[in-house]
Amino acid sequence: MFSKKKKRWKKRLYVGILCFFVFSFLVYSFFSPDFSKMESFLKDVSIVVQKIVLFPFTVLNTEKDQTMTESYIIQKNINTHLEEEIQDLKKLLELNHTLTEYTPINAMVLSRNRSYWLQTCTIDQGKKAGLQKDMLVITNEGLIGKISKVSYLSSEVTLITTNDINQKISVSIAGPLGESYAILNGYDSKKGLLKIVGVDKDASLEEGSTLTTSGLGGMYPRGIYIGKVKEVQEDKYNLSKTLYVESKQDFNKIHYVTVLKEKTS
Amino acid sequence: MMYIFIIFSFLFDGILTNFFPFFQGTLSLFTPYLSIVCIFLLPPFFRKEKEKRYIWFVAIYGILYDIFYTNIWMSHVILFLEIAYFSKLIWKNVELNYITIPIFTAILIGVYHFSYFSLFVFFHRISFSIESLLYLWGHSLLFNIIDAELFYFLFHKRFPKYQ
Repeated sequence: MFSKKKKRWKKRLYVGILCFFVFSFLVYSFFSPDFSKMESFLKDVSIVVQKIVLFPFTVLNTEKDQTMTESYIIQKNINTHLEEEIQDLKKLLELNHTLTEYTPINAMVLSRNRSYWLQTCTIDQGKKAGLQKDMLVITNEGLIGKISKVSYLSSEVTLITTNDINQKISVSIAGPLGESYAILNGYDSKKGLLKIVGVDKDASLEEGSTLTTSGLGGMYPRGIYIGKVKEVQEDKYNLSKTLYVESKQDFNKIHYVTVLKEKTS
Repeated sequence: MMYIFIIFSFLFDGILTNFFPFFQGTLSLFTPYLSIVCIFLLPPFFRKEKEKRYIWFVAIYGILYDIFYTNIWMSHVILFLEIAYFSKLIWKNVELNYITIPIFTAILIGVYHFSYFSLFVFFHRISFSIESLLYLWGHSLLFNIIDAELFYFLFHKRFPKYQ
């Protein structure tokens, strides 16, 4: 009788410990800024398997090289007008690097992560290629996201369309009377447009203004193209403006991307 | 055949996201959740003394799913075990046929979406939006119901005791 009860309690204890362990790991995973060593190792093993499985789907794709070259050239051209100026200033100030300098690293999208709410995808380049957290990811249509987690062979890219309220990018809007700064804060799925909040109410902005990364805070390179302003709205208390921006990128068709690695020396 | 079904469901759940829209507001009616269908249709293969094996299988499936597709570890262990619990209840208490299979597939997909969504809201990662939840649920029914019907038909033909 007693041994039966004891056994039942032991079983409950084991189940309780297991539940606690699983829940702790879940909480850790939700809030950890990067992969742990074990996570990284297992992720890399899965990447090798995924690459093998995807091989028949990608081997005949001729779009690959074309898209990769295009994205680099287009982004280079956006900043072309700055190139000369940068070179002159660098000489003048004896600077080693500026905010607009970066090295492009090409990668292939292996899968859309199944967390629909977070809008992330996995690419086949990681620490081995020199990638780090918070590096920007572009295509030939402009900015698409930033790296949120990195393992040795792969990285997780959080798209700019994410619902995640913790993901924000500082942006710059080129208006007719000068630049304004604001925060890219998610995606309006009804309108199909990116949402920019916190724009100064006195800023002179109009439809068609170009939106780029601001480079403020030193986390991202400056001047990466995002899209064009489609709609300007004032908030109901007239304290700030909200912009709706159209990105040319079809986020359902991202197969090859370029990661911008900042030059540090 | 069971193993082929499991491998097919696991791999195609990931591969198909590269080819079908998986973007907010633009989901197609072919959003795959084959793994949920897989967990739902498997209990008849794990009867009586094999029941524990089913639980272990689902837990391992969840771990692998998180490693491959989500990067939020243990989330799908919990979610898939929840789906497995409901699946077992359904198979024990309801007589399943070609009409009830789609109904319960839709319910289980709904349970999965609601639980996963609640997890994100609980951890303060996204803001609450019932509209988005219903949108996602509505767009993940057709393809998975076809998948469930197809495999139910195949299992029924191949294994006469499949019930």
